[in-house]
Amino acid sequence: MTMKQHKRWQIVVLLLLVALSLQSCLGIGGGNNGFQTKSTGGTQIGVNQTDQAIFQGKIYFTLNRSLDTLDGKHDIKNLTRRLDVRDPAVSPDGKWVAFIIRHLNYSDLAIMPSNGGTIRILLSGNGQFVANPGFAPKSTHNWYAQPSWGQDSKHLLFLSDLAKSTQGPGPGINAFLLDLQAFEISIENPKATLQAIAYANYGDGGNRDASYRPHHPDQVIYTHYAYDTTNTKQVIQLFLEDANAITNNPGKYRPGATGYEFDPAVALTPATPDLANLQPAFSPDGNSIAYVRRLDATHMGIFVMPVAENVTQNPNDPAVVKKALAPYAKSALLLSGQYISQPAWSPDGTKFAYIGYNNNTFDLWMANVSKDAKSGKYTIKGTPIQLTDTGGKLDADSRPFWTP
Amino acid sequence: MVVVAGGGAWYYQTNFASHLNSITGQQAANLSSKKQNTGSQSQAPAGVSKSASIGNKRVNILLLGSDNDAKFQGGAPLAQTDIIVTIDPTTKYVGMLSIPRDMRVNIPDGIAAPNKLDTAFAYGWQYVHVGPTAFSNAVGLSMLTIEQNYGIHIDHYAWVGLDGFIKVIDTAGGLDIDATHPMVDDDYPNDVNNKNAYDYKRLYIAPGPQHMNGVQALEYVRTRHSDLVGDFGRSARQQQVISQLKTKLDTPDIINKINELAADLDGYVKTDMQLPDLVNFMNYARSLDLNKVDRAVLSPPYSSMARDNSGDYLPNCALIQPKIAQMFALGDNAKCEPVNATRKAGIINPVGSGPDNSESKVAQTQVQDISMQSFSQMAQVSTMSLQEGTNDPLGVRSLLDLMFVVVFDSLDGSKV
Repeated sequence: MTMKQHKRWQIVVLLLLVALSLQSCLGIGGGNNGFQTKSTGGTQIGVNQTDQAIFQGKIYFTLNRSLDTLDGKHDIKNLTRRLDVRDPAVSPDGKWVAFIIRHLNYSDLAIMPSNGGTIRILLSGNGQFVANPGFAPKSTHNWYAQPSWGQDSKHLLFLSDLAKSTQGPGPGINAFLLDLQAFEISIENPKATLQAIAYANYGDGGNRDASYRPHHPDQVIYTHYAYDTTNTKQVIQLFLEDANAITNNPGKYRPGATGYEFDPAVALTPATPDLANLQPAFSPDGNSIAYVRRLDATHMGIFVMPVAENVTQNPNDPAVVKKALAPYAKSALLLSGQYISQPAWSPDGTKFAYIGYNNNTFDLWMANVSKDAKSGKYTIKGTPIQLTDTGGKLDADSRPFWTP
Repeated sequence: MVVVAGGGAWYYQTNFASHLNSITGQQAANLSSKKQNTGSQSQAPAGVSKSASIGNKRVNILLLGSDNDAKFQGGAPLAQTDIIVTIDPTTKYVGMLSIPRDMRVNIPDGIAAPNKLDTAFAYGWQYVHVGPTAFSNAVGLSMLTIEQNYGIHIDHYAWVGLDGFIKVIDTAGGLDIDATHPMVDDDYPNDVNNKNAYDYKRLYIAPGPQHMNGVQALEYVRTRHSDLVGDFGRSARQQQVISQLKTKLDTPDIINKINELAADLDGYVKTDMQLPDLVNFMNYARSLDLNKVDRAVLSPPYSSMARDNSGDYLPNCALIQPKIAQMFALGDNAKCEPVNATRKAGIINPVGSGPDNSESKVAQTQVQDISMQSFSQMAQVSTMSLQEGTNDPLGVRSLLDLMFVVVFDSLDGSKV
């Protein structure tokens, strides 16, 4: 080889190395660590392309407040644009996706065909500020939050502050009830009177995460937020109740301050000040819940525990209260981290998706689980898998949903 | 060594000096004498101590916060936060007195009829022409209003525009917070980036981990109606945000953003203290056991709502006067001026007929005077940082902490 040819080869090799480096920087080809950049609704995110990230079904979630889906073949699709969307939930028959559209000062409860299409507003919280001489103005706006389907695919649980105009000051509290409570609406007749499902405690924001128990159409679980009797510490518990208890016992139950509020619910977790158990998600068979617990100021964990049967009909019977609380001791810690939240089971119960936090960014993660046939105890199989690399675009305060 | 020092000086002058010089050494108009104030940074108005060093004498520092500062482009900002920090170094007593924005006060010298305390800043801005700038007049009138209504002499001030807090949070990349519980507020003051200073908005913040930008983080710490326990819950949330801010500002790559942070503060933080004195003050604040700070807020029972539909609060002087006497060691010099129970419309009586209040004219005059002064301040602050191990060689961290103290209405902000 002549000197000239030698130099040419050197240049070719150098150029090849530069091209390979650029390939990585520009996201061409396989991408970094198995992630490939994909576009959805004008947004680009990384999607894990490895075999470990394969799953059945589709996960609904929001990116920069737009509704998107990620399927098990790593395809991503955008369903809404130019709306502030939160908390998608797909009906059991797969036809509809319900979600919240957020506006300044209020929100709407909406449904849409699950693959996208015309949005139908079931309830709008639009309102106005009304002068209240000598005081801050009152508002006629309403919030709606976190829709969740009944098993008939015709009824939706949701949260709202609808009662604030009617629930005035009461014993132990001198304020209107602004805190969100749980209601139910029929999508076939949204103008019918809404059914009150669960009452709230004053002053701590109300209830969250309501959903029906699979295969138990009369049972609803939710996170109940309250202050303790000293009014200085949080008491955050998971409650289970008969969805028809309030309607079937008019005048018996009531919202209110701690000590006055009277619920038809039983507690699945202890009423310990500063103990926070939240965001329950029933396994597809309805026998267990995955939920989040705050471990300390800098750590949270996802636990799974069994749930007792037949504890919603006599919620004030001490024996029933004890029975409902007993399974809590069998809670198994599956995952922990600085921020770890919003568990969502796969339809077959072998995995759950959740929102994890890594490199100062929230992303969708997936964990494989196995259940011991004898004990019913869940454990993690293998290492959790990061499904997305969204660069901060994932909305961690919006509950994801996994459909078949 | 000479080359390194010279390079450092050049770097400081190029990237920081103009920002820091428009923040520190901004004298308030001295309205008690009403002599025309030049506003020169090299001269402190009569009666106002130039140094805020924590020496042997009690020092009272007025902290002001505005929610719609409008960047001094016109309009008259209100000062929604009025806190007086008093420090007695000999007894190590530290007190923080918060006066609610809606407290009715007598506006000095009949400039305007009695009105809410937050209007004193606006009246000074619009109708006082003693100091060289509208801002200096606004601060001067706020200081005089407090002195005349309560007998508290103000030695120094620091003013913060809340927009600056939002900018700093956004420059730091936002915050990731685990919101403790759902937050519902039907009457959150929607006064940032809003021409209507008395507008409202509703909040519903979901609980759990989430990313917050500057506006959202401000809403999270400011909302007062989202907890049954009001300010107690707010304090807990502020602790969370402070902890997250500390994490963000302690990361190595924040060094790359320090110039941007200094720029964020420019226009949103002003104080008459010189930078070394400010650093001294913040170092002192950081050393405090916050459980021993004597806090008082002149909300009920120190005040009660007026019945004239004005939304004002009337002072309960029987309780206020002894409290002020105790906190500020004023004895018989403590005051509490009674005010009319019914607010009456009054004539505005502007004060002074000073030169053009243009900020740019004052800035131009000051540039030549301060270049050497700013370099020597930088050297002094750097030396202090090295000696005390505070990792604040340019004083930017102390300015940020000062902002957080005002935004959080608490010396907890100095612990970021």
